[in-house]
Amino acid sequence: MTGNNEIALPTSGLAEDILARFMDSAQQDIDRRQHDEIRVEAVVHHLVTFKLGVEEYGVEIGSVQEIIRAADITPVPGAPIHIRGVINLRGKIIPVVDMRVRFTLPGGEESDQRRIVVVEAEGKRLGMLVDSVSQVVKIPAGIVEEIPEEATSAAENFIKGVGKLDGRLVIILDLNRSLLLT
Amino acid sequence: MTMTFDITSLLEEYLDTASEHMDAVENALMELEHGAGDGTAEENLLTFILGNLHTLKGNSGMMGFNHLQQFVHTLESVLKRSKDDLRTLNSAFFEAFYASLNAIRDALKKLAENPALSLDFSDETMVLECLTTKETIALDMQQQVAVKKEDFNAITQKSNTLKVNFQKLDELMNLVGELVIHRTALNSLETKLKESVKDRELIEAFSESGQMISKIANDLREAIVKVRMLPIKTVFQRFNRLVRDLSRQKGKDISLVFEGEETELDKTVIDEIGEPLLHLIRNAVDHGLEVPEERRTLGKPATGILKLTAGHESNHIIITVEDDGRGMSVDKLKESAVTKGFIDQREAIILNDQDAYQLIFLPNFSTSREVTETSGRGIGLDVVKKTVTSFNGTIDVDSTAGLGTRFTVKLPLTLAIITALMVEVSGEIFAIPLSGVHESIKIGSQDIHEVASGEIIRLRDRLLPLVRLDHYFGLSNPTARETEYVVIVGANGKRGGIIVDKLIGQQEIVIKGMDGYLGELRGISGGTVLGDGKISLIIDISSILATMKKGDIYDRK
Repeated sequence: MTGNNEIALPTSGLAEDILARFMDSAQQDIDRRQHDEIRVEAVVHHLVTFKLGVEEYGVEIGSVQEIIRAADITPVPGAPIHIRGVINLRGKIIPVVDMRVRFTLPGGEESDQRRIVVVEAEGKRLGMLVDSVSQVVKIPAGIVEEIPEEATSAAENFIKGVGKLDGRLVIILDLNRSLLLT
Repeated sequence: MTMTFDITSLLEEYLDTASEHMDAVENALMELEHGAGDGTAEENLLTFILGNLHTLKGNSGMMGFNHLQQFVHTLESVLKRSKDDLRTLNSAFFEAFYASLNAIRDALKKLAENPALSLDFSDETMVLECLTTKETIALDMQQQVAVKKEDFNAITQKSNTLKVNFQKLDELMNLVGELVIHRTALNSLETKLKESVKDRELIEAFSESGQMISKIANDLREAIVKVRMLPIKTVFQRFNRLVRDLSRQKGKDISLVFEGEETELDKTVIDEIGEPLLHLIRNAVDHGLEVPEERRTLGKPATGILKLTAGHESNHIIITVEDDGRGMSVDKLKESAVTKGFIDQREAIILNDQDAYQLIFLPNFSTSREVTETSGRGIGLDVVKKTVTSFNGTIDVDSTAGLGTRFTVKLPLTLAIITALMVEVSGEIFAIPLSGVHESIKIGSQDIHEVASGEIIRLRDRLLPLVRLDHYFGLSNPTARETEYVVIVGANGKRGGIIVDKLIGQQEIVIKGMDGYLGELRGISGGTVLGDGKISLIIDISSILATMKKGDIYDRK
């Protein structure tokens, strides 16, 4: 860079002036780089991931309230087909969505791995019945492939993006659309 | 001074609000004293003080405390003058004003002890009058109203009431509901312990503690239920003005009478009962009661009586709206229903009186020829029924042509906790609100008769339609059994039987609403958490009865 500066040195004019301009542009350059770093840091997806069949799905950790064992779900006659029933969460009645039914996957087997991921979206508290909960992961936004809204078919519009993690694919869900809250 | 019973009962309320107004005035006055300088702020404060004083004046007048009313009026006029001329806001003004406020507080305290007391405000009035005439004299008078120690008694005054946000109470109620649930869980734990633990003494100590917790949880619940209670008077009194205005408009002479207005109801009920009552009262004024001339020719007193009553009946609140007007004729109702196509001739003939009266709760059903602004064309009565039913309540009509009509609304004591009959169907436990259960019987399958519209049984010479709950809810395959358990339920004058697998017993349950996410649920009015933490759904009796074939006329358009 010093070389550049030397070339740009005019034959006339105040050297101080030129030097000041150079320092300014260098500072701007540093600022911009730092800024970019902060931006990358900010868009890391912090996800709770769970399994449904062979696929791994993730939801933003901010909307997850808690994860509980799937037991004592009371079926509700007349409720929409994707609702498995209701559970008691410390005195409150919360609907539980069977994610397999919602995503039209074949019915899974009963196992003690099954969990209910309690989420809050649109001011509602709902449970999502999943096969098992894997872990909490961080996926930098850079390796998440956002799926543009117009490109998704009606059946797939609950997908917000797909992230790669140690060679696995994690389907990041759009909660509102996954739970038919819109 | 004449004191009626009604006024004494209002005294406490009056004193409470008066004290609030005084606090507000005093704070604003101090702000005024400190923040002198900016004109608009002062004007706002003065307006605020005037508003509070005006309410206090009005309330005092209503209570018959004429001396106090007069004095507050004087205070008001001094303030109004200051509002026009802010220069009068000098130290003499503030001194005189503070002294006046103390005098009012003092008076309120005395009135609390003896409402019939005659009050003397002559000293303070004089000081105030001096303010409006000559400032110099006022300054002299200032010494006369020197600070007395008693003037600050208001600071140490203790209040017996406390205003609490209702949401906090609701939270408390929820917690107690939880406690009640876990108490039940403790019972089943005890049974299990008895099987596995050999130590007799330990078990006994455990069950003793368990019983204590049960008792305390119950007492706590009752105490909180009581805290949430308000007298229905607050609702009834709103109708005084309405009836007065309506009857003038209609050229009717109506006397509104209350009975049992001290009856206390849960705040949730108080909040919701206003609207249905409003419709019933409008209906009575509009359609029920006649104009004076008509009443005279009928040999009735010219003044019609509209009576609102409230009272307890076992676990329920009964509210009636009764008029001595023209009443309804069953034949006319039927005729009208046939003309409008709600029922056909044949149905009209077999319809009993009680069912015929229920016709008026149909949407768009009205026998009134004239369309009026207030009750329209019977719009409202269907809303009334809907609202009442949504509280697990019932509404019945009783009427005699020429003599009057009485609507009887029956509501649970609180909307939060009810007693329910727990039943089992296809492995799931359901709760049937006991308010709608007449009896439960065990019958042989040969007593169930198949007719074109479905299954029926004959119970004491009455034919009742049946619903198999497992079939209704689309649960596991209905299995025919030798004997069936039938819960006989009734709502809105209809009766029917619900077939269940097993009767479990009565239990107090805390009603919880179902999330709107679940959509419209047919036959379910809510849910409750059982002792073991599982959820049981609460049966909506009236919606199940509505689907039963016999007497299905109400759903026909």
